[in-house]
Amino acid sequence: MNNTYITSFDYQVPIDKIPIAELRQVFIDDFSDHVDDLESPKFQNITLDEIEAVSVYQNYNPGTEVISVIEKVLTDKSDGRELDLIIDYSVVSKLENGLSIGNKIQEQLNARNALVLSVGNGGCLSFMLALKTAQAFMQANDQYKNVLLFSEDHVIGNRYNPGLNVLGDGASAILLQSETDSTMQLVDVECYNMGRLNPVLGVRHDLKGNFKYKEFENKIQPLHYKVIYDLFNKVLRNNSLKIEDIDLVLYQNMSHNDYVGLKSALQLSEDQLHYGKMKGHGHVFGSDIIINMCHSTEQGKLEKAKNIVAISSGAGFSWAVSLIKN
Amino acid sequence: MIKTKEETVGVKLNVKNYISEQFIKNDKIEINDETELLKLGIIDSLSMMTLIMFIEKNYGLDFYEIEINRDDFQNLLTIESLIVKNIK
Repeated sequence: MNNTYITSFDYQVPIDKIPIAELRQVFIDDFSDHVDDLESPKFQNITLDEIEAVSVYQNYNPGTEVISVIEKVLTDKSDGRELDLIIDYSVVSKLENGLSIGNKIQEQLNARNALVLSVGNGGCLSFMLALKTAQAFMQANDQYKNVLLFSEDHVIGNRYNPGLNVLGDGASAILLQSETDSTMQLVDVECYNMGRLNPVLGVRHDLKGNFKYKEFENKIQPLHYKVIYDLFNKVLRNNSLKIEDIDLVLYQNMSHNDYVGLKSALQLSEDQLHYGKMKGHGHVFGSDIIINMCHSTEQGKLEKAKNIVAISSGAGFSWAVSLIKN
Repeated sequence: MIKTKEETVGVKLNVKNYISEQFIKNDKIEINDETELLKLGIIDSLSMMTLIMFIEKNYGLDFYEIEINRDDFQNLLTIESLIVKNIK
């Protein structure tokens, strides 16, 4: 049975930015009629001002933006022709015919031996689903030694969700290998989907901005931290770890308020939780965890950490917690 | 753990004691059946998590199975109703 090691990872966001004030105005002008409860205290209390701006692709051409990230990730580590599996975890980017951009990437990499999959159904936790899928393939069959995961997300429609998040564009990629010098091992990924919440926030981001905010607040938020708490503790139990054994927790970039909530819910210390880089990015779907892996690497945290936990949630409604050992 | 509907007497008092001990820092504040726990901020998303875990542990409710709504945590009466109607 092959182990799954993380060999390299990277991300890239576009250079063009839109300030949050502008996005807020677009929301008020064009989308606020589609939101069911503008009187909610959340609209008033969580301003999202910490985000400042998000990056956006101009003249977007699906499948072209992520290539430079993939090339950085593959450099000297693997050739496209050596890839055994490619998984697209993009949430909102598709080709004109509605298909994943995976096969276009496969062609560009000349990865003729790779099986190509797409796992966008987990919304913003699709990255975690991709990790779990890759790990399952690598453990089940020795043939899968070199696995590339990538995403490229380009938002169409509303980017500003009051009190919750601001959506930015971006691309990310990660190379998983069974034979590598890397010591960063993907050990565990636990996912949970509460299908009955699909009507509240389903698997497809609504392009018209019909965000059922009140439903979200009523049905998902009461359970959000509880499910994360349960999955987090399940991962700890699975791996005979205690909370104090966790050196670094990476989370998705929704809002500073959400980070504070997670810290309290899991009773994390200030040192354990890495506050993600969202100031100029906003929330970049499945790329958030990789953005924060890069950000914590820049700060020298990731290399020092022995036990790293990554946490995401997303459409479905779904939650996931993964454990990486260094 | 209470497992049957016949044993639900005292549910409201148990919940009241838990909320008073865990979430109310000011001794002068006393909650009654209709105190608006959400509107007054006595229960927020975090205290809701610990309250859910308290209910799960003490009354055996499975929050992965039952449908809940934020309004279920409005006051002691709605919380009692949530518990009683979902005890098997």
